[in-house]
Amino acid sequence: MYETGVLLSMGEGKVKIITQYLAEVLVVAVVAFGLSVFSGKFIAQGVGDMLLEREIQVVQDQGDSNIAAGAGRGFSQMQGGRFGRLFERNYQPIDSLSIQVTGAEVEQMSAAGLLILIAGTILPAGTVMRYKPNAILTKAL
Amino acid sequence: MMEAVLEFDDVTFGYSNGGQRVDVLKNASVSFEKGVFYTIVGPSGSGKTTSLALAGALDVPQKGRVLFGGQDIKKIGLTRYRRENVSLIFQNYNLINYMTALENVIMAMELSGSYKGERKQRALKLLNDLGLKENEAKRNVMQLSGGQQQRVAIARALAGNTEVILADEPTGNLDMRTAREIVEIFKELAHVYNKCVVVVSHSHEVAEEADVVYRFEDGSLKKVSDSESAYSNAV
Repeated sequence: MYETGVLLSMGEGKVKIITQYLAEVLVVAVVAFGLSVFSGKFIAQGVGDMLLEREIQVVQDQGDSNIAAGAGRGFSQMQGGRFGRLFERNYQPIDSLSIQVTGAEVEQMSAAGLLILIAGTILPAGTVMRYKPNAILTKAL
Repeated sequence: MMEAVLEFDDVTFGYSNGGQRVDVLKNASVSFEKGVFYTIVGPSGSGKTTSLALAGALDVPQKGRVLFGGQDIKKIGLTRYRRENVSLIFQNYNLINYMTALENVIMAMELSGSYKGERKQRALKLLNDLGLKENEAKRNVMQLSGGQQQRVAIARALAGNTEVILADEPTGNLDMRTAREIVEIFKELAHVYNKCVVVVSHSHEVAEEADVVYRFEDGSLKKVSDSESAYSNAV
């Protein structure tokens, strides 16, 4: 806001200021998005593996406790547990996740990101620029 | 008599305070010439800063016109007028605080389109003429003293090579010695470089050094030839 007031007081045009802000944000966004495309798959794979591992551990722990309980109370009770339900519904347990980021998904995310960037830059800058430079400089200090 | 470069033609400007309208300027008409160092004095809240904001197109009069070279600044275009015809110096400097002193001055040259191809040398010379060494010019402005920052602000104002220089309490944050040096720079700008320099100030010292002093009285600017009496009447 302060910089906007200073630039306006020096005779910079409103459109030029907004364009400059957009350019600055876009440069940062392009670098950030580029990095995220390359690193996203690996980060998502790591997070997915970690979650899956934790889930398998939980299922295994519950299965063990149900087996122990079933030894005393019968197999029908054991089937009421989470492990039991897996057998009951004939689910195939997942033991690995393969995370893929397709070109189409990158395009969609780029388009959505670009829209958010443009709106997020123009709306606040436009709101500030409705004021006279004097008011902006006074409010900014 | 020299031709007026900047004029207020029947200017009225006010604001609403608790539902009541307060007119800061009421049908004020005044003109400023090139080569003259003006000071506007008056008590706090009298409208000194408002009049400077109107002269610098930072705000627009609710009635009347501000003229530059005889033309309404609205017809020139307020943005173009700010860029090409007038430069402002503020009490709190208003420098871009992530830039060096040199970059601040070069940016002003880029905005006004002046000194193409020789901006760095020109900016360095300007800063040097105003008392900043090369290593100080290449420092971030936040690492400079108040006096040095005000010199950078003056260099930035000169970078556009405009005919009118407006300064709002430019010595307000400075010690006596630095303030005196800054006032000498303003006098030189008017008398050597033929600029129209208008300074709003509370300072007795600044008013004493001015060629012409205007005093705020009932929403209008009254010209006072004797700067000493202007100050004593105003404050």
